[in-house]
Amino acid sequence: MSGQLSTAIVEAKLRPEFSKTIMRLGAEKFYRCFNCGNCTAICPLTQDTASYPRKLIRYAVMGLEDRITSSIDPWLCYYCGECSDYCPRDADPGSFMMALRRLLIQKYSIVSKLFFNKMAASVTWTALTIIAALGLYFFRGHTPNLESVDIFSFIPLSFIHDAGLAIGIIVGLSALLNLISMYRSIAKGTSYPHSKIEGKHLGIWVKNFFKTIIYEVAAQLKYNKCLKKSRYIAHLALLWGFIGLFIATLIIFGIDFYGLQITKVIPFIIGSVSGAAMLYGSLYFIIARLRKKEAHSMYSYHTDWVFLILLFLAGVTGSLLTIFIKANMPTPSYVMFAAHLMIVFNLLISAPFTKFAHAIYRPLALWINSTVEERLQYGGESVGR
Amino acid sequence: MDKPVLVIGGGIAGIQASLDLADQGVKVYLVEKLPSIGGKMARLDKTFPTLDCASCILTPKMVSVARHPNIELLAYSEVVEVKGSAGDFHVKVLKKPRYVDEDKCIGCGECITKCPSKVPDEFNMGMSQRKAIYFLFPQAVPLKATIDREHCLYFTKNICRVCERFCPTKAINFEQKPENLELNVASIIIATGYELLDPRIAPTYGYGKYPNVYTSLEFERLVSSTGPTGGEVVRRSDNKHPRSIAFIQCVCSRDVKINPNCSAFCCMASVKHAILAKEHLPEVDCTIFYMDLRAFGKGYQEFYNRAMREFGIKFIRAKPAKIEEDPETRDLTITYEDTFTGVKKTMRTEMVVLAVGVKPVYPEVLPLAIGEDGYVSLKDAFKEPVATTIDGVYVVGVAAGAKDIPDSVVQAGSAAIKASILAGGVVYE
Repeated sequence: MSGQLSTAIVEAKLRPEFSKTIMRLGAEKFYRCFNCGNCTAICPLTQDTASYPRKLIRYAVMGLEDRITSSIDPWLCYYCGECSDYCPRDADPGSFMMALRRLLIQKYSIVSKLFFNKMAASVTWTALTIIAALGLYFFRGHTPNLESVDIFSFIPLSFIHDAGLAIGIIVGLSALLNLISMYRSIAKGTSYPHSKIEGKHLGIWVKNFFKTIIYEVAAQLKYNKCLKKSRYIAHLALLWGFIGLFIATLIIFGIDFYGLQITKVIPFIIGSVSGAAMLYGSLYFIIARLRKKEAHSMYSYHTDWVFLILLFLAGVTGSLLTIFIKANMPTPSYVMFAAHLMIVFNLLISAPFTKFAHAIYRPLALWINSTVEERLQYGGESVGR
Repeated sequence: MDKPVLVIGGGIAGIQASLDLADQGVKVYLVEKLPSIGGKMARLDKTFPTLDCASCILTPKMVSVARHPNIELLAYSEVVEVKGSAGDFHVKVLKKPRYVDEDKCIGCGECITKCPSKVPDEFNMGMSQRKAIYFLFPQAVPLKATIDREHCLYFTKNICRVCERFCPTKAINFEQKPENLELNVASIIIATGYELLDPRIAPTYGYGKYPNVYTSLEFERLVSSTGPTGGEVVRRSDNKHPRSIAFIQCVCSRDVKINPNCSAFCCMASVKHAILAKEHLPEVDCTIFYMDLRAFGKGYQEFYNRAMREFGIKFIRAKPAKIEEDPETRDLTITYEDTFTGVKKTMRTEMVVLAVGVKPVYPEVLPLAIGEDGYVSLKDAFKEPVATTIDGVYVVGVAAGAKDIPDSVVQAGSAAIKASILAGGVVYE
C-alpha cells in the first residue's frame, strides 16, 4: 500500500497556476489556509476514507490537479458552511469545495465550459432560447382555438412529444457519457483511496447502488447531517418537486398521447403539490443567496443563479399556465405555454453540463464512496498532507 | 539628579524598569492599579525554559521595589490625567482608598483571619476564596491589607467592623477617601501588560460550561504550590487526579474572527505546563494540540525537545474543532483532524487546558497611537524599539506586543535608559 502511495506522489504533476483557476471559480480566499484542520474536524460529513476540505485545499495549494480531478470528495460535501464559519483564517473552505465542483463539472465534460465561462454562457443561453423560439414558431398550430383553451391547437401534441423524446435521448446520452468520463477521471487518478476502484465485488456494488438511491438520492440523509434543517427541507422540496412535475407531465402524456385510462385529477394533484414544492425550494435558495447571511449563500457564481432562476421560472410559468387553463383564458394560456416550453427546454437540454449536473455526479460519487468505504473500513489509510 | 520618571504598571516589566531607573539614581513613581505589584508573573509557578521558580525570581525584585529609596510605590492607584510634554509631564494619580492606613498596617493578617465575608479569589482565578479584607497574595508588596468595598459587610450592610476591633495597630479607617496626587515627571514608561481573552468567545471548546476545561492561567495556579489546591493537580468536577490532560494552543488567537495575533508565549507556556503536570503526576498522559509550535527563543527548541524525549509529551498538529463532555464522568472528547495523516479523529481526555490569547491593556488617558494589531504602536521598531509616538513616553512588555518574560525584561532595561536620559535633562541633538 505504501509503495503505491509513494509512486503516486512521485508521479504527481505540479501545476502552480492551478490555484488561480480555482480562485476564478469562486474560492477567492482559500490560499489563506494555514492547514490547521479545523474545517475537517468540524465537518459533519468528512470521514476516514474521505477527509476534506483541508486535504483538498492542500492539494490545490501545491498544484496537485490530478489529486483533485480524481477525487470524489468534492461531491460528498453539501456545503453546510460550518467549515467557513469556524475557519480561523477566513479562508472559506466551503466556497472552495463549491469551486471544486464547478471545476469538476467542466473537467468531466468539455461542453460544460460553454456554461461556466460568462461570455460563452451568455451566447449559449441566447442561442438555446432562439432555437426553442424558432422550433415553436415553425411547428406552431396555424389555427389556435381562441374561443376556449386548447393548448394543443397552439402547439401540436405530436411536436411536443417528438421534441421531448429527442431532448430526452440527447440529455440521457450526454449524462451517460459524462458519468463515464467522471468514472474514468476517478479510476485513473491518483487520489487514494477512490482511485482504488476494483470491479470484483459486484455484490457490494449492486447493494450499495440501491442503498445510495434510497438513502442519498431519495432521502438525502447525508444532507440532513448538515446542521441547518430548513435548507435540507428546501433542497428535498426542490428535488421532489422537480421529480413530481416530471412524473405528472409523463402521466398527462400517457393520457393524451397514448390514451392511458386514468383520470386527469391524479396528475393534476401531483403537479400542483410538486409545483408548490419546487417554487418553495427555488425561492428559498434565491432569497438565501440574495440575503447572503450564511456561508453557503454568501458567494454566488453565475451558474448558481441561472440554475435557480430557470427552476423558479419553470415553476412560475407552469403554475400560471395551469391557472390560465383552469380559468379558460386562451391567449394568456398560449403565451404562458410557449414561455414554459422555452424555459423547460433550456433547463433540460443544458442539465448534464450546468450546475444541474450535480444531480448525476453526486449520486455516482456517493455510490463509489459507500462501496470504497465499506471495503476500507478496517485498515483504511489516507494520504499525508 | 533632576526629574523623576513615572512607570505605569507593576508587573515584571514595570518592576524591572523601576529598579533599573532607581539604581541609576533616578526617582521613580511606580503606579499599580491592583493592591499589590507582581502582575501576571506573580501567578506563575515556574518559568520556561529553565523551569526556575517564578516567585524566586520575582519576589526579591518586588521587595527591592518596596525598599528602594528612589522608588515611590503607588499601589492601588490609577493615572487619571497626563498633560505636558517630554521632560515635563504633569500627571494626576488617583490613590484608591484601601480603608486601611498604610502607615499603621503591619501586614499581620489578623483582620483577614477574623473577617467573616468570603469572596472568590481573583488571584487564583476564582478557584479559591479570599476575605473581603485581603492581601492580593501572601507575598504582596506592599503587604498592606485592603478592604474590598463591594463585599465588606460594613459597606454593604452597615454591620460587622470586626477587622477594626481586632487590628492591633488601629489601622482600619472606614472613612478613608480617595487621594489625588499631582506628579511632575520627565518621562513615562507604560508597562500595563495584558488581560487574557475570555475563552467563551470560542464556544465550541465549552469553557465555562464544562468544569474540567481550564485556561492556561488557571492551570498555572493549579500546579502552583501557592495555588488553590496547594499544587495538587485535581479536576474541578471530582477533585481527582486526571489521568490525561490535553493542551490546546491558539484559543482566541491566530483567528481572524476573534484575534489574529499570536500571543508568543503560549507555546512554551503549554510545553512547560505539560512538563509540570508530568512532574506532579508522572503517570499522566499529556498531549499538546498545536498549529505551529513557535520555539523561537534561546533554549526554547531544546525545551520542546526535552518535553518530547524526556517527558514523553505527545504533540499533535491540529486545531481541534470542538470539545464535548460526557455528562456522567465529566471526561472530555476532543474532535480534531491529525493534519499529518489527514484523518479526522477524536480523543478522550480527563482535563483540557486552553492556551488563551491576550488582549493588551494600555492607559486610556494618553493619546497613544494603537496599531492595527491592537497593541501600542512603536515610533520605529528598529531605531526606537521602546518609544511610543509620544515623545518621552515609552512602552514595554506585552502592551507593546505579545512577548515572554525575558523579552519584557530586556525592553524594561532599554526603556529605563531612555527615560533616564530625559530625567537627567541632557538632550543630544
